[in-house]
Amino acid sequence: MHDGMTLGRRGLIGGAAALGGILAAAGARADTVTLRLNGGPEQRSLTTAFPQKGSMILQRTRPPLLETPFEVFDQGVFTPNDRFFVRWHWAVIPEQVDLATFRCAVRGHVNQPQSLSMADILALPRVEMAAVNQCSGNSRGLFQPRIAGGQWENGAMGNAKWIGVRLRDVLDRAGVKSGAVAVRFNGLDEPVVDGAPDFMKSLAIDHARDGEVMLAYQMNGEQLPLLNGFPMRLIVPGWYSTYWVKMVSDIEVLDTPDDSFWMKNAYLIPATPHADVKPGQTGFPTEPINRMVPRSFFTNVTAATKVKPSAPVPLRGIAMGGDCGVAAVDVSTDGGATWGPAVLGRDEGAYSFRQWTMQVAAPASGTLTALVRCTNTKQVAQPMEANWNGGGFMRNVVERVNLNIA
Amino acid sequence: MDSLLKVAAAVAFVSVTSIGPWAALVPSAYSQPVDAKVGPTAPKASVEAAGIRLRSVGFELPTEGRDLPTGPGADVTAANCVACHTPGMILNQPALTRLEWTGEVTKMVKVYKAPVDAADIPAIVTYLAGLKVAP
Repeated sequence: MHDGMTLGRRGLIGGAAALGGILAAAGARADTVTLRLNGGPEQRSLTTAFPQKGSMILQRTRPPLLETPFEVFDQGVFTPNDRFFVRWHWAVIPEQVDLATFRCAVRGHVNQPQSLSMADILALPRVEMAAVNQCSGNSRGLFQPRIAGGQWENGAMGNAKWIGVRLRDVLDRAGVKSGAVAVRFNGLDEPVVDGAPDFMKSLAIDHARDGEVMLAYQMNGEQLPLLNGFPMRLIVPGWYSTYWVKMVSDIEVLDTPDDSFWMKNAYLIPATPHADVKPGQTGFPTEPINRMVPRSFFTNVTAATKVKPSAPVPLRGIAMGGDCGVAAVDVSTDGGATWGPAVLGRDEGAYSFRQWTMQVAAPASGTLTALVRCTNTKQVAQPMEANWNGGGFMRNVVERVNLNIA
Repeated sequence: MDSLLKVAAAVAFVSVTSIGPWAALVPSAYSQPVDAKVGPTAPKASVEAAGIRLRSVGFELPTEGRDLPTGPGADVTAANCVACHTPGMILNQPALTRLEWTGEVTKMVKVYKAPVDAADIPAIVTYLAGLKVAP
């Protein structure tokens, strides 16, 4: 059926859930999904061909871009490891990691360079943090006008309980020398072609040492799947996933600003409100992408959901504050003229998804259009208008769903 | 009576094969598959401390993607572009103009060091700009 691979139990459940979500789309096959990308292409295969992964939306095989089918986000605020999205820049990804020989270097502007095994890492004080990992370009496929790049719908994100060590404790083992300005992280993956820029990212030294940035070796109670960065990855709570380097094997403390490609030339956003510019606009300042912004989603209804006339409609979803917690989630059924507060679920931490629920009433006929808006604890709310920038980054417009009365 | 004996035998067999220590007695048809959690080529080394155990892993990643549609320029595009990424990257793009495709190909060559002969770029851009975007 799916590439001749046996469907594990979770793959079957994922496949069945995906089937339920797309049965309404006329002519859809059971192993494909239709994304709502104006201008297309909208069809994607659902694949179970990737190790340790259940049914995933296939954006690209190599290097892998795997999107989480959106119904997974209705199953709970934590994204199961085998449905967690996958995004790699370069195709030379180790298929085998041997803990007997794996070492992570800590070098550069330090007193004692280190070569740490995972046993060394496990011996450091253990910390836990729930945090959303979201691709900088999540939702890029929804931008209008469209932008080249990974054509994600909204599923290039996931929430996990990360267990590991503070980056600060790892840095302290090497002893950061005064004059350090940044810390740069490199993983085991490599470009196919010599001379192409190896993927590495850096954080300012104070950020790196803030006690929240961590190196995680477990997500949701298990070691990291290979494709999510085994044996350990960087966790930068509240910041976009580009910084969450996978398979971290090299930590370099810098005493001059990082001018490597992936910091200086890539992942730049307009330094404007909402990182918003007009298509074709030039001459605006840019800065490296950084903090996330609030978002909220409907997870129990889609445009295919039918509601009964004049009936109560239970709505449910997830919200995130971005770089801080969720203060409120509000729902509107009159196009944003008035809003009512949703009930928030358990607080799993400032950087975690938060569930929200709300009941609204369907009209007697026509369409029920619902909007959901998150306001975070810094009083920043999602905008009613979508932003635009040439990278397709940082989308966080208020989401809406049109439900047909039938 | 005969069917009762069959049921009893089946129950006994299931009991024997399910209970822990007895599992060693079962025939190979019921032996556990290769440990799916760490993969078929996983090295043996593991590390453990304070209740957390990490195990080496070894898997195989899929490498084959979709086929590029046939047509003029398909061969030179495949020859130059698929070494670094499978065709899905190309085929999932929205309708890009010739200028936009030129920008993308130029970025592949200048920034990502794709070893493309400059003479081949026009044919590649023409092919990409001519691709029909699926609905």
